[in-house]
Amino acid sequence: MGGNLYANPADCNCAPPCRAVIGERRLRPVSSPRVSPELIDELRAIVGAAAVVADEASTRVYECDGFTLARSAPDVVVLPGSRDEMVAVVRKVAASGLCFVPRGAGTGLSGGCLPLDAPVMIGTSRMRAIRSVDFENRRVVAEAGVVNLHVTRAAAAHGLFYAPDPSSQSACTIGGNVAENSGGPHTLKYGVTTNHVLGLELVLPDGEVVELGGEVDDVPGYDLRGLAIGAEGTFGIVTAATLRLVRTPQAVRTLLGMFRDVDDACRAVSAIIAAGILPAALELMDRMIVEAVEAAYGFGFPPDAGAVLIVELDGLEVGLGEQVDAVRAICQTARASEVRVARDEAERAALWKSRKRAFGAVGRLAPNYCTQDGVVPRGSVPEILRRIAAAAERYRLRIANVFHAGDGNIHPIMLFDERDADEVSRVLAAGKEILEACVELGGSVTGEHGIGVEKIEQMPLLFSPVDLRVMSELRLVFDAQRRCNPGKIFPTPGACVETVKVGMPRRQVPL
Amino acid sequence: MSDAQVSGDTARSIGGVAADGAPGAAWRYAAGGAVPAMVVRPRTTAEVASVIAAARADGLAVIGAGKGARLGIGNRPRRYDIAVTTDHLDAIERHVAEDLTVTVQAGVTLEQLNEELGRSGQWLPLDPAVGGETTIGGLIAADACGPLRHSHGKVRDFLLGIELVNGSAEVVRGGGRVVKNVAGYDVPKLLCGSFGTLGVITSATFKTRPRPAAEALYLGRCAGVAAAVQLALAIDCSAGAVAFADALSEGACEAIGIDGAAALVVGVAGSQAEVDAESERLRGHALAPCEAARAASIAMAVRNSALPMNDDALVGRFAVLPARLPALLARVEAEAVGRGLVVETAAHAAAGVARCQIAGDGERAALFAEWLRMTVRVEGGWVVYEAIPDGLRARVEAWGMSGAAVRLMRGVKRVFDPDGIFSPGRFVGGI
Ligand SMILES: Cc1cc2nc3c(=O)[nH]c(=O)nc-3n(C[C@H](O)[C@H](O)[C@H](O)COP(=O)(O)OP(=O)(O)OC[C@H]3O[C@@H](n4cnc5c(N)ncnc54)[C@H](O)[C@@H]3O)c2cc1C
Repeated sequence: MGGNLYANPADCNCAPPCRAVIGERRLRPVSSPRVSPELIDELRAIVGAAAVVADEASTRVYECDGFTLARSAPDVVVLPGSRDEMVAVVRKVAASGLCFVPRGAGTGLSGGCLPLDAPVMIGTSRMRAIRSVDFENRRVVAEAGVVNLHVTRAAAAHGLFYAPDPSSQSACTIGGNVAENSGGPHTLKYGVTTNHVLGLELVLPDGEVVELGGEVDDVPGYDLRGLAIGAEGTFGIVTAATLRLVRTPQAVRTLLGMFRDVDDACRAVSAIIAAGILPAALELMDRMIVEAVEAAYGFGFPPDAGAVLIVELDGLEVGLGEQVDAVRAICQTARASEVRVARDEAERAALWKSRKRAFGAVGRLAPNYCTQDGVVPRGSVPEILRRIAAAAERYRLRIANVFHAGDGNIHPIMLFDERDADEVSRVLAAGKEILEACVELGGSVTGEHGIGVEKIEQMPLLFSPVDLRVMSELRLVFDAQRRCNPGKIFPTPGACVETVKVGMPRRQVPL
Repeated sequence: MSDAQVSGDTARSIGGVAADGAPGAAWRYAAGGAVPAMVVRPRTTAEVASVIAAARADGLAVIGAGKGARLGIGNRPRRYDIAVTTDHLDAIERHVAEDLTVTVQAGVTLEQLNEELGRSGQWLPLDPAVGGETTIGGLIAADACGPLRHSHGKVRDFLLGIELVNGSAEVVRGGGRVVKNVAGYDVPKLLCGSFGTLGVITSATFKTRPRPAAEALYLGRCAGVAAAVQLALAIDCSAGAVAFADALSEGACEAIGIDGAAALVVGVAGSQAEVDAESERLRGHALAPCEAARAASIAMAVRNSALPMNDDALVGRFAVLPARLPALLARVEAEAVGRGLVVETAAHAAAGVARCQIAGDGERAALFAEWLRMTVRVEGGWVVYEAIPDGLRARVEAWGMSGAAVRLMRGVKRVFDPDGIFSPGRFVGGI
């Protein structure tokens, strides 16, 4: 959540000053240069007319990502279809001196691809080729616009899969995953995006193409691939990535533990880790989520479940029975009312579907929702949940929790109605408080969704001025003029956001 | 960098930290063939910073050092005045067992850390050569890893947070202390394999793993190292509970006490049931279990096969796509024989990584080193010469790295070390 991103007009360094402030929200001045009709023609000449979106009604579709509290439409959206087109487009934009913002599927949850003083948006939705699949060496080279799930689909027949699996995996792109260093339910055992990306093809903001990393792991020099992963699109545009595939485990068991409340479920989580068991996934859903998922998908959760824990174990068939028994016993000790094991692949698939669609299910409970993302040490999960509940009460909000409990990665989902300005500001305030609590407990303000525009204000909670200066200077190594995705991650003057206007119809890019 | 020398005054102390006056102390910290003028052993991060501040003011070049186990890697520094050791930064600051994380100072050795983690049934599953001589700072800076990289990855896959003193004597922190964190750039990654060129690492946070309940070791004799790698591929080490699969050529086998032209050593780890099941599978590939009494010493010897066999060895390490390794190794052996050289190879077979130790006439070895670098490059890999005999330093460059990325790397270097006081010239592209 945006915290007080725009709450204090005195923080505004815009010149000219912001045009308007609605409630706590303000509108960005038209200070950045606009895209000229000539440039639009030149871009059309490169990518074809159909791949340039310039009329206002259509660019509106791109005014926000999954973080809908801040909006600002680009002047033009360009969709190159190949690396060469990308290079030509980036060069052309560079020559015009304009800033640009990369965009994948727009499922980001921190406003990462919000065009802030960047009138040109460059999308990767036409770069969907899987350039090569090498089953023998378990490598895939995928263009940036390839949808996450499609990589696994391409590999499944050979008993391989791509491990990072954000809940948005049927829509989000490899480029977006790289930019955010995305995780997912199975990252507990398998790691996040950075553990599975070997190489990147990156178009720098001046149009130069660089290879970072490669098809093998031991490339001499600094790990620039590692630095670029999670850089939130501030180093240039990734056009392709070499990904590592993982062997599909021989056997999988998925357990469902039903608990009276989240405290009991958390006790089970701690005990599983303490027992030296490393599940593939360890996900927790609280009462509100369970009810919403049940109402939407009728999975068959008991109506009185205060918390449901999903524990997935995988590995060799021979070892699993023992682990299943151990987990079952742990859940029972933690007073689970019931422990079920998914009977077959269909039941397991249905279960994961309900988990991955939990956000959507909750979305039905209110006109708007905002997914918060924070991390605490695993042992502090019960404490942060208590603090979230307290914040919900104090700010008179409904907050649901569905999260990666095994990683201590919380996702409070805050329900609201954007037409209610007061409620919006309460959502912002509660979000800020929750993030501060995460830091206080020794954690982080984001585990996988990124800083974007949303959490810029929280960066100084985690990093000293020296740390922040070093990071901003690293950015300049790749983007000396800060022309690629300006106004993100780091506090910079003049980065006010044109936010949602009261009463404006809600627009969201369909997933 | 000015031409300042370590003056009489600074020789006794620098930045308020006393120099180690013991005779011969400096030799232990020779880097790339260069010996520092003085050795200091600061006790705190603040003392490290004050040494760096003084060195910077005097225009002196610094290398942060652990126990010196991997200082030999890299080109000869253009200048090297002070070794700043992390011996006294030796605290395991915080092991949060229930969170599977540990924060540890840079001077703690991997062996010490794993001993401590072992008390809670955990470990940091990295197994470079000489774990008792490998400090956490050195582990990170040298990107040191061993056979287990096949199943667990490298230090970058475990490093969550870092603290270092940069070239402006500032304390810089990156990452954090929790297992998932994407706030800000992933600065910890930059330090992995940075070989002391960005700063002196003072502390790090890692994620830990539960230690497997059971382990076993299997041996297979092969006609040659290429055949041993081929066997590893045939076993399909990505399935099952194979922790590592290392192929060793004759000389390396000898060191372990296995006779024969080559061997494949396979480590298995998991629950007892998993290890037993793997036993069946591996026996099916004609691998024999190694008796428990010898297993530990063999595993250690396999790890240490990465070390140069002697001062005259030229050691090249490279990675290629695993399936390409057998044919490549066969070519390398044939080429070496044709040139009248002896090559001994140890390979992390399933990971596609090999280390070739080249012995023989210096001129021929230098030419062979060039050939190997080009040949591996064509296969998509890079040869790093980890050990270069002094006589060949003028002929063999350690990294062989070029390309547009090097320019970016120089930019990264300037961010951390604007005056170039850390290990100048030791690293890629003259960094
Ligand atoms: C329902 C739902 C569930 C989610 N679940 C998860 C989850 O489990 N785990 C998780 O980590 N995230 C999750 N997310 C967040 C989001 O899906 C991820 O951050 C995802 O990686 C974004 O991908 P995208 O293609 O939509 O990127 P976008 O939203 O389009 O862009 C995200 C950022 O990446 C940059 N970018 C995009 N493409 C490129 C490129 N080619 N080169 C350089 N920069 C680029 C953009 O500028 C922006 O800063 C979820 C989101 C939703 C809506």
